[in-house]
Amino acid sequence: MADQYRSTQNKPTLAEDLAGYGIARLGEVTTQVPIRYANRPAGRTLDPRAVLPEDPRIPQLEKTIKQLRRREQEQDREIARLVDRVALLEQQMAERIATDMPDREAAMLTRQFIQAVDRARPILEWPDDWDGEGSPSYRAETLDRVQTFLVEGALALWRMHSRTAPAPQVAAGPDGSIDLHWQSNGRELLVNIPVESDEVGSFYGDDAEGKIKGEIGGSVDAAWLLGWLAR
Amino acid sequence: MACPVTTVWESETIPDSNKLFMRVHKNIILAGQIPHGVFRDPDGKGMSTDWEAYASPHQTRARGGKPAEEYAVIAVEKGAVEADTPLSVKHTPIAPSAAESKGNRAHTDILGLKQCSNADKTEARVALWRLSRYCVNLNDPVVPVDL
Repeated sequence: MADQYRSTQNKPTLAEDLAGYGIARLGEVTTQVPIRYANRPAGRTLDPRAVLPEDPRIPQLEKTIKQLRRREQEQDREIARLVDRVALLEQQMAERIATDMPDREAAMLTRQFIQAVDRARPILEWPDDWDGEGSPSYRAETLDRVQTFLVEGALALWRMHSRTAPAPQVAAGPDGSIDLHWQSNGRELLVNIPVESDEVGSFYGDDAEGKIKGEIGGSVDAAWLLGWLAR
Repeated sequence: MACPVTTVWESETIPDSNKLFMRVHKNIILAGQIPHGVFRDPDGKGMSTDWEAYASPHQTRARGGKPAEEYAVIAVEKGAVEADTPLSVKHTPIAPSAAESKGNRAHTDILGLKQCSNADKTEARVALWRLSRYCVNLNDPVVPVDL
């Protein structure tokens, strides 16, 4: 009995107790709590875990808290998932604005260039000396290079500046080369695409402000020339 | 034994206001427009034309390697060619020979296109195109001519 009323002053904490004596001691310690609480010296604290199991609502509350925390974690995960989804949709939308939409527009724009080249395809059927002046025949490769030049130029112009240019008249040039000719908005431009792929194309254009001329290459490409037309 | 008579025409100075005629084959004409591709000098000897002093446009039309109806004829003024392009014009009559049996006294070359840089060549072709006018359209009837 004396032992039952002994002070807890020199007793280890419950954690130390548990660590030292094991779970089996917990029941013994907790049953003594009310008495110890009543007799404990001022300044001493009790481990609350020794008290809480006494309230029959605690387990249910703990269970409820766990459920709420689990639900909160699920909601956090759902929010994170939705945030990721929104970010993905924003990225996809940005990509569509940056590429897909212009490409769709550009497909319409490039169509006119392809049609312009297609209108010139009958020249491929002309034999050597088609004009009685000794002119050579025209090669499909040259016309294909013209199409690539125009389509890539139109796409690049759209992507860089969201601008379009009119399609040229594609015509038989001198000695197997191909001429591209534009006349619009007071501007005139003639581009010559040579027969051989390693030869350099050339251009001349002018308007009321002045003239441009040179060889195609470096910074002067189809996009630059179409951009000049589209100013 | 009689010596064959050879006709040799002297090269003459062409007045600036005189016209030079050039054939344009029907294949290259798009929507009736004079094509830029007709201005060519593949071998560097000059663009062949006929001086109006010794040829009519219909004679020029008839001198092509194809039937006359396959050609239109354009005209360009000699002085304008030399003023607006780096090219020069030289009267180069062709004497009658085995290859060119009747010769061509009107023959005139526009010189220098082949020697131009690519960019200058393209500019010169634009200038020639602007200076040129049809004098025989493709659908004009063929006029019989003596060559």
